[in-house]
Amino acid sequence: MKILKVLNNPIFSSIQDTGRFGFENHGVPNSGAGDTLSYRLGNYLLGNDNVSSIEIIYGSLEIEFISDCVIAITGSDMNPKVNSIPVKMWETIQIIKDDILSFSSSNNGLRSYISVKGGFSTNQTMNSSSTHTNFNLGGKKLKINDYLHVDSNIDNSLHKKLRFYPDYYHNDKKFDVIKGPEFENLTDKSKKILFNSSFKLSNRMSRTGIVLDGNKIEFSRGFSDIISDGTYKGVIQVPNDGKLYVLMEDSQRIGGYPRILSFTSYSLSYISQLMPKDEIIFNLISLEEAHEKGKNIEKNFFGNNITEIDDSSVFNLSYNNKEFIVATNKKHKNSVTINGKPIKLEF
Amino acid sequence: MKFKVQDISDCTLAFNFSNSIDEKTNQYINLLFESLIGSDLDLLSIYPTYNSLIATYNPIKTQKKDIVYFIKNLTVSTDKKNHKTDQLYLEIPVKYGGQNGPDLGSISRILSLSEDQIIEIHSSTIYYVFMIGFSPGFPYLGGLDNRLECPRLSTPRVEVQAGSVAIADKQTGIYPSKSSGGWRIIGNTSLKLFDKKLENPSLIKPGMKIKFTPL
Repeated sequence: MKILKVLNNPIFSSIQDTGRFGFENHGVPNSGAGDTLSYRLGNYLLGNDNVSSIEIIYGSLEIEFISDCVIAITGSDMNPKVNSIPVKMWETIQIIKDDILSFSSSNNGLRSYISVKGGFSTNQTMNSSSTHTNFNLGGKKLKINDYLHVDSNIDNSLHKKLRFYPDYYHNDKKFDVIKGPEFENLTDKSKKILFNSSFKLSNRMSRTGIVLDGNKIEFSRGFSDIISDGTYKGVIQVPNDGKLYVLMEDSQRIGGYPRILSFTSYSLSYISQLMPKDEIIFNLISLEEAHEKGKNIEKNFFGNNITEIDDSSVFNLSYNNKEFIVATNKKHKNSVTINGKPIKLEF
Repeated sequence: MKFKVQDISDCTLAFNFSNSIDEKTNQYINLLFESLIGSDLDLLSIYPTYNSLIATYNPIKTQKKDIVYFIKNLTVSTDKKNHKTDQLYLEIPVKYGGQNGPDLGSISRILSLSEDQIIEIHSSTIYYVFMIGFSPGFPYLGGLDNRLECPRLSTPRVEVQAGSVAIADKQTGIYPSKSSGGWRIIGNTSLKLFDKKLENPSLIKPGMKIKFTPL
């Protein structure tokens, strides 16, 4: 059934899930949500497992809901508003038919996610709805008058919020990396440059990759290119121009440039939120440390990280010299009682 | 066969078998890949490249040492009968030259060979498919006759038509879908190389042998 209609042409908003895996031997990229932490947290909050969400890049999206539902907005803060009233991120939002949800430009990062209880139901290509626009795979890139659907509409849920979530605004510039297979081919001078200077995101960035500006990186013995071999998102390659190329979620799984470093899985979520001119300082850690940190982050964010919000409130109302006790309780959808007697609310 | 274990990232391993390109190593990697399909190993993905087997895992669920142990102790049958793709052979019909092969003329001048000679050489070789990548269904082929080695275009084309058969350096390949590209185009095939609706979307598979047939 139809759940929402897109009211404008956003800059780049698309359907994404955890990605398209198992077709790498056919030359198919993985795609999927760029900020996996935020995408997963939204769906974790709603009780969803590997469903489709909307990934908004650069903001500017307006949608109208066609039926009641429960959603969550995660990722960077793009001033989400329902019917022009600001709404909170990282908690469930009860949507009523005809509500208009809008996002302006971003305050603190590149990507924001809208997840709906039950997940959006969209085109699947090779077991995934993740949109790859160049290869025309998966769900879709949203445009004006598009409709999105859900399989079964779950329009009622407890009001919940996440206790912990990534703080993009106060995140420092240090990002964890581990050494890649060709790291040792670098000159000693280049190794020093990597860890004693900072790099900046250039304007050349997309869901395929990010080019970093900074000091030139060189290889000892001058050689650079390798026999094309495996890559993955987060891998930092250096072509002959000596610049750093970060592979992102839509990138190919085969590449011919040396793989000198890679961002850890969890630091890549933060990298995926960076904008041009943002600064990066590499923090080199071991594989074991990366796995240990990853486990702690998983435990913090996905182990007992949901609390219920008690929205019930009671107040006294005087009207025509009569006293009324009005009670609201959002646990039961939009339930309002007057002197204990439920009344029907129309929106 | 001996291999090196490399960490491409904190969740992707390369089991690297060689530092040079050779069919024998690649065939062994394909055998290994085939024997891992449907195994108990809990991986997000596994695929072969020229020299490596690449495995992506979730470190929360699966430990690196368990994957390495599993691969080390895998017994692979090198019996040719069990090697499925090794026996696969595909002929690809190609319309060479003209609008279908806009670079055939310039290659002819660079290599001092007639267009007919280029077509004759290109279509008389049996090529080996090392891997699929670059774009969905794009085969990396080995075996290009060294008389056809010529440099890439200095400025890549913004748009290469689907089905374009091209050569560059020591390689030849086919663009399965419309894309940008810097290889020199000598012909075009109407064969659909990639169909995203199929369970096996890529027509060409690693380990296959293919031959181009002029139309």
